[in-house]
Amino acid sequence: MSVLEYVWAGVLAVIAGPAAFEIFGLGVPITVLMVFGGFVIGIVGGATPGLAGPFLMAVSLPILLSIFGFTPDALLPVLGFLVGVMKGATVGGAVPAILFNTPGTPDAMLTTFDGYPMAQKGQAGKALRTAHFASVSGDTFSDIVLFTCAPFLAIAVEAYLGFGEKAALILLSLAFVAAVVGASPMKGMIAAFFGLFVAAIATGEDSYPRLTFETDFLANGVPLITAVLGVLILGEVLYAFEQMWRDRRVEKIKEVQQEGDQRLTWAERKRLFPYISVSALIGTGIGALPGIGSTLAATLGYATGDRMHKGPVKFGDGTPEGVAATEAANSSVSGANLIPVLSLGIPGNVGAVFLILAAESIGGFNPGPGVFRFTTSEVNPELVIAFGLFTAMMLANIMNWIIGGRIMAACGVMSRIPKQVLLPIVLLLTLTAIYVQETDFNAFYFAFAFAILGYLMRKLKVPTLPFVIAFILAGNLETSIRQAFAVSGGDSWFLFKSPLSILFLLIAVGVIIFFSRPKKPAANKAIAAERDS
Amino acid sequence: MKFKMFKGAVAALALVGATSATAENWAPEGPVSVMIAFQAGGGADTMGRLLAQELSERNGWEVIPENVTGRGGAAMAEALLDQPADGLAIGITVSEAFTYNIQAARNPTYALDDFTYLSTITGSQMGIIARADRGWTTLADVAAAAQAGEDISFGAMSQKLADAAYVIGKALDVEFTTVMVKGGRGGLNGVVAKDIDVAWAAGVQTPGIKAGDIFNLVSAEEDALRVSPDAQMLAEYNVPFTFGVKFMVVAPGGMSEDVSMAYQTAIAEVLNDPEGELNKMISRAFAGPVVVQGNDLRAMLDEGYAEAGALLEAASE
Amino acid sequence: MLDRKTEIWVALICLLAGLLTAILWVPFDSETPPIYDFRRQTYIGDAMLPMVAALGIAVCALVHLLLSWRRKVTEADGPFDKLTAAFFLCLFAIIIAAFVVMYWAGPVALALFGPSGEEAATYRQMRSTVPWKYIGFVSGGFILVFGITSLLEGSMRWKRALSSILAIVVLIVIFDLPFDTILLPPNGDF
Repeated sequence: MSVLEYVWAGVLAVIAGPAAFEIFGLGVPITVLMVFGGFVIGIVGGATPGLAGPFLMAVSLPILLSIFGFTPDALLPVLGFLVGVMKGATVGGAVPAILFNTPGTPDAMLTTFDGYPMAQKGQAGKALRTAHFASVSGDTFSDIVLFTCAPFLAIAVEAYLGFGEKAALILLSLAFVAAVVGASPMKGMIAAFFGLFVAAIATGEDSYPRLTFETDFLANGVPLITAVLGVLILGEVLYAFEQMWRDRRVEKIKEVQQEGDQRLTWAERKRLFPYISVSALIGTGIGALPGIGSTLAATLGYATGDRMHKGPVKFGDGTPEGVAATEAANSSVSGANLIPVLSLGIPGNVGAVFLILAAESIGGFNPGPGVFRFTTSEVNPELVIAFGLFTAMMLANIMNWIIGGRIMAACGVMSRIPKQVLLPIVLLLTLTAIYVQETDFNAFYFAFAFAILGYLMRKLKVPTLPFVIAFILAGNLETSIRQAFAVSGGDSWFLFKSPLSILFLLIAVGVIIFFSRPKKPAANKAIAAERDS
Repeated sequence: MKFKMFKGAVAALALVGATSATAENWAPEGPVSVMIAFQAGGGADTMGRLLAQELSERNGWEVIPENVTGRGGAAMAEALLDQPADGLAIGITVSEAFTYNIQAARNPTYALDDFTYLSTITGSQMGIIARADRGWTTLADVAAAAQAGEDISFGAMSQKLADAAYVIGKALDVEFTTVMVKGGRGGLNGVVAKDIDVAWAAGVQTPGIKAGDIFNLVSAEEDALRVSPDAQMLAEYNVPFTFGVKFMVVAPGGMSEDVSMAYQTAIAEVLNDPEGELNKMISRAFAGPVVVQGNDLRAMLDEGYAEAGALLEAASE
Repeated sequence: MLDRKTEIWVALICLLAGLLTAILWVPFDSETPPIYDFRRQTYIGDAMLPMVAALGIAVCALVHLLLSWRRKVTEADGPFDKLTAAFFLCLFAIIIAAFVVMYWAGPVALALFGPSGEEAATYRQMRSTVPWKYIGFVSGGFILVFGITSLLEGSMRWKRALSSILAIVVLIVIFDLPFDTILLPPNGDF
């Protein structure tokens, strides 16, 4: 099959795949339906303070696996749903930020700076439309970069990297994530090493499951999805519980009468365009690096926009340019974030973690350089899936352009669900989702052990992302190191035998040293918040 | 008041269960857990889920598949032993879990006698693969390359197959560098990416062989490989072992005869239906339906147990 | 950043735990050492990854200790106080109660109110039969959701009890009704 035929096969896999039901004799493909469902749920969830994209992805994953099972046919509907959630949550996060000054997602923090003042001036509708327009533009741009870059990067990686270089590349990514996320690279590294250690329990090649104290409880290792949900979701839930209990206050929400023209004219859109394009570039560039969150992109986009801006209403006083600069930057992170996953198999952020978990659980699709093998004699099904995934992302963008804004406007009501009612339900939902996967009460003990770990890490300001990513990559890392060692014939310098792997390791060391130097106080509280998260 | 109503409803339900139990064939009085010892999503998992699905559809049983993976089937075997032998829990695994693995384990957690062996499902298509463009067509070609001084790396996905690679090397009078890989897929990818020279593959190689990119150098089964009927047999190299595995259905030990027979009949029925999903799937990806049941199956495992012992001995020399 | 004292404690604990793990736990609880020879080939053993990971923790903790030591003393509250302990005592009491009820409510109800005598059934046989299969999940889930909401709000309210029940019904609709092959907690354990 030629390259174009592969692309077309991917498109067909989505739009001509198995139909869910028929309307007027026309079948609605299940993948399209799932992308739509995910997208709507993503917006609604993103608009609900306390929920966020990664959380929704985490909870829906086990449910999706139960619905679609573990056949290759399940890949596109499940991945499509998750992608829809990811995109929906990105735009949805702006709703409570603009209407009630409470960001639904962390990256919507800067949207409050201009969005809320606009709402107070009676321009909430305009602010929402601006946020939507900027967000969709940035997102679409970022996806296009992903579609063009990932295959080439993957082909280059596959052609030039042997076992040793792959191991060095994983080490580099881990070092990067550990150093960049959080306030202190050393704490990030501790988290990453701890992730490797936990992943080592009861795995390995020998018949005795290592590090289990010869107990049955540990003998089957740490269940992957349970551990990830425990640290990322339940840890956050426990943390939030304690915060809420400490300051039992009910937030009074004041509503301002909305007046005037809420539309966003083409002339206004044209005026926003420079801000959106600059922010989209910034967001995409930052998103392509593993571990750096969309908050930094939003901050940089906002700061750059501020410098470009010369209008009568200053940034921070409620100007559409401010909303556009922020939203375009944080939304354009999401597509580019998938570049390391699809080309290297290395997840760089939480959303990507759940895509990898989904692919690994279902099987038949292993994100990484092996996917982009354009075999001509036989069909490479993984490549078709990859292009199917791209199609699903584009589909989500199209839905976003057409109806995203309208759904956003309808989601204001979600922001009023009190957190103290929502989060306990979230706890039970997560536990149930874990149980239907594991069908064993022991899974609850694991879940709470990791929830407490996640809670402690948050309290002690040790970043959780390096832990999770190291935990997921540990198996690959160990396998490729063992293989590189075996192939080298037991040479103890096996990691330093090719210039490429030496380069990777040098960069890794450089990154850690660079980020370890003493920092100046953060310019604004959003960066400080990201550093501390 | 309410609870009385519940009680009545449940009593009625139990009565229905009781009548079906006294019928000629045994039927489960509750949901059956099918524990699959393979990672979700792979070919072996699909096989297990299809069997569960067809058992349910044909007999009207409620069947709940779950994956209990880890340590080459040991995790599943232990979980299954925790269940009573009432026919409400069965497992799907590989023969190796009861032959080689028990003997290789430092402290085995179960024994061959602990289980009731119901039926085989199908067999692997174990071969040693290499890229077609290497120009090798037999193991002798590989041995020649090794004797000419080339360092040959050999991908193996289990300790047993690493032992096997060593024993084969001894028979050929060469030394391979063993590289442990993750599953047959890992070996195949390593061979395709030229990271390793040859590797074991148990069926995952079939599409690559049909496309002409990959070559089966030798069959490690007792019979010829379906996709490469001309490949040599290991016996031609004076290797007294075969390394194929059988996929099979087991239950906790001490299962009563009528329950065991009910399962054997039901499984045979599913396997032997050429129109069935499972039959089609295993004919495509594995060795096709293989129905060895009851005492014959136990005898086969005893034989495999002895052979695995001999392999361990040969590999430790 | 936390206050200096806490950072130093975190570093010290990680350093100690890392060292103990690398020196004691890993070598005694793995089958093969980090490097070993077998059949004339050198292999990386099962102890390699955990040992490197534990040493990595120790080394990073040491660096962090030195960095934190050099920092100026800052005024900040510690991350934990008595309120934390009080809160988690209450929270885990609720969670444990919820788990116990979730696990046992079904079997107990069956033993008390189920068919007796000749037709007596075990919970294992009834674990996918209405109403028995819902008893544990509904009662345990209710204790969990309503209990925690009440703890967070400091009062028990009828409205919250209703919303808890509603949430559990929604969960059953999502997980149980559409699928034959899914078992709600705790039914997979019987």
